[in-house]
Amino acid sequence: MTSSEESRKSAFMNLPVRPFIGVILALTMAAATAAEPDADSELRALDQATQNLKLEMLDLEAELTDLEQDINYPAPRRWTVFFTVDPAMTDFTLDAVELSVDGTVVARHRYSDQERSALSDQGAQQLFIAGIDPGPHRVRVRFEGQWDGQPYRREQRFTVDKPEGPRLLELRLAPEVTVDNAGRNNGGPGLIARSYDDLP
Amino acid sequence: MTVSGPAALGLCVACAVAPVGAAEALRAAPAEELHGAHAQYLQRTGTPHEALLRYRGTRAAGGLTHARSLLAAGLLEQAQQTLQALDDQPPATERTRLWFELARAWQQRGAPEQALTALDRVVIMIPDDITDRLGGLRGQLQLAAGQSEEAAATLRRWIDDHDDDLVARYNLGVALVRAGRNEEGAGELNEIGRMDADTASARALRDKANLVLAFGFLELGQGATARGLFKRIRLDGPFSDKALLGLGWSELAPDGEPQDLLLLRRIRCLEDPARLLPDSLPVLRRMPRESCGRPRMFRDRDEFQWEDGGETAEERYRRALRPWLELGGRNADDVAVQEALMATGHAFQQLAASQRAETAYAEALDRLLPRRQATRDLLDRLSRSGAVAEPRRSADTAPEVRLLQSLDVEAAALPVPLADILARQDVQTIITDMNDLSMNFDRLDRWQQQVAELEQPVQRAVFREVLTSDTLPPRLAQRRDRLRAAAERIQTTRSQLTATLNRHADFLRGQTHRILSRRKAFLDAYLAQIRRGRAALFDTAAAGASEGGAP
Repeated sequence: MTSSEESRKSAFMNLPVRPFIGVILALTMAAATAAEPDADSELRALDQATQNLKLEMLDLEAELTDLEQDINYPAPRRWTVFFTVDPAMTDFTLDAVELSVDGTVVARHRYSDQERSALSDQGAQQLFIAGIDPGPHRVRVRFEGQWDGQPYRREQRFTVDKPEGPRLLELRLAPEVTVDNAGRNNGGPGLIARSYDDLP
Repeated sequence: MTVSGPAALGLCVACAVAPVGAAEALRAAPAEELHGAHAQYLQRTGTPHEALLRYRGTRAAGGLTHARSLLAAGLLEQAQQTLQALDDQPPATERTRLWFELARAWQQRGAPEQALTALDRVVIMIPDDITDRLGGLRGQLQLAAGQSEEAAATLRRWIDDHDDDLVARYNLGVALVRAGRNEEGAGELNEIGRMDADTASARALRDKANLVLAFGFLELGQGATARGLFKRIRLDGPFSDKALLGLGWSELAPDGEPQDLLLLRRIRCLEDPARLLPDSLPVLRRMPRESCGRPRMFRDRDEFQWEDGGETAEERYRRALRPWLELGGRNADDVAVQEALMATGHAFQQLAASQRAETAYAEALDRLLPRRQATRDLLDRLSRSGAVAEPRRSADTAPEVRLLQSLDVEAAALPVPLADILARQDVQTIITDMNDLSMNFDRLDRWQQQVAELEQPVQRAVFREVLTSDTLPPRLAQRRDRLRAAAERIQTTRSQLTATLNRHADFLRGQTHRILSRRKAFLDAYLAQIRRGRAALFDTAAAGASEGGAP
């Protein structure tokens, strides 16, 4: 063994405990993403508890929403109006809608791009909910927008006969079919009103 | 109810022709469908929580939009169940995207196995933006799930087409090393360690690769190789403390064997003639064909430079002192700095510089003893402390604030860097959950108020009925009972919420306790070593004095 080798060896032998192993362990642990076994099972249990609590909160909120609706709009008088757009209604950009019932404006809405997109994607907007007496009611709907790049405004009136019990009215914007003398379809956007029994 | 029309009075400004036949465009839309479409509208207009409340009992429940709402609400299991039920239905692209997002959500929740299960469903009609991330994510998840071989195979395939994915390349190196394929892994990490990096994250990744490699070689007794690797690491980067510490130790470690000799041996092994023969020769199957391990790909092994160290023990200690003295001037909350403070005294002692060794030991004691005491105090406190009386309600409480509140300490009293605790995935998951849950206190308060308001008309109605009749109408009685039940549920849920948040805080305390216990074990070892060193210094001084004729 050369003197150089001896000195190297003695240098190594004189080292204290090699605490840097602690650093290596810490590095390895930092690289690993999993927690220790005990902590891991506790983490999973906590995750489950969190999920359960979120579900309970959701269930409770749904119950309160339902209860509030039942109290504020009891089923016998409840009347909900939904606004929908037919998928074929591609060349009309809806800007705003106004709903009047029995001569009183009860809802006005101006649409954002996101809302227009949601409507064209088969979504239904709840335009109005109220408790109304059974019997005939006058409904007037005004809507406006751009049809083929031109301003378009229209008003339509319906008479709705509401029986006892919860009811829905769907106001659906759809292209009307109107054929001119040359056989071309000149139909513009129009509303179709349909009434259904609501869920109890 | 009937609707007369379609238009009792039609006014068409833009067209002159009266509409006819529009009813033909109608679809039959029962109530369930309309309510479901309303839920979808709410989801798509950015109110997924409102949407979730509306899905129940509708035809849209269980659909893709519902699954998206569940995912947005963090209800991952429910989202997964919903998606599973839809697996045979179109549209596949949207479903595939949701599976991918679910995998990411599970990953963020620290559940790589569930994430992989979700990712396994991302197989058909994969959108381009997902295709660009798929392999890297899968490899990362396999690595986190402990599937090192699978991760290495996935990442190898991925990198063939995505050579610029630095994280994937780093993960490949780690996967190979964890799979026991050290040489291949070292080669991959070395590529990262030598790369040109023009962003902060790339530079940090390069430093990390070099640090892992350097400590790996140090462990193997290859000090001469480790030295060069430690020196690649920037002195102002996030890994500089550990690099300086390791560099000092590598000066004292054996130099080891030059890497070109190791490489040569491996090449010889690779050239085992049996490997070159086809499997169809039965007699050769009995030959020890795997004696050298599986075929390995060597990349840039020749780039591991041998760096000469000191020729003598004295020279080696002097060289080790350079990085340690630099490190000793840094914040002693870092475990690397603590170790360097201890090692500095030891190095001076080995150099027979007794006065400087004593000074270094004294400084180390001054700086380490208060930290150990603070660590002990906090450990005691964490063992004794219980639930936090009032968890923070804000959903956007900063992670460090949430952690400190759970520990019930001020930042100044924490003897470890906050970042060391906050960097843990499990701690991050818990803090995110705590923020999510905390906002529910305000919601419960609102609901309690709402129930109180709803009770008033119901109580008035009950009062009126009691005056005129012996029995309440069933619907009114039902409302009253539902309100009572709701009020009780709110109280129960509030208790559950507090208990769950306290369990979360307990978890944070437990993890901090573990970290502090480890730190204390290190501090105990460093302080014991310092005491032994000082005792040896006193002994030497006493012996010298005795030989010099002291009384």
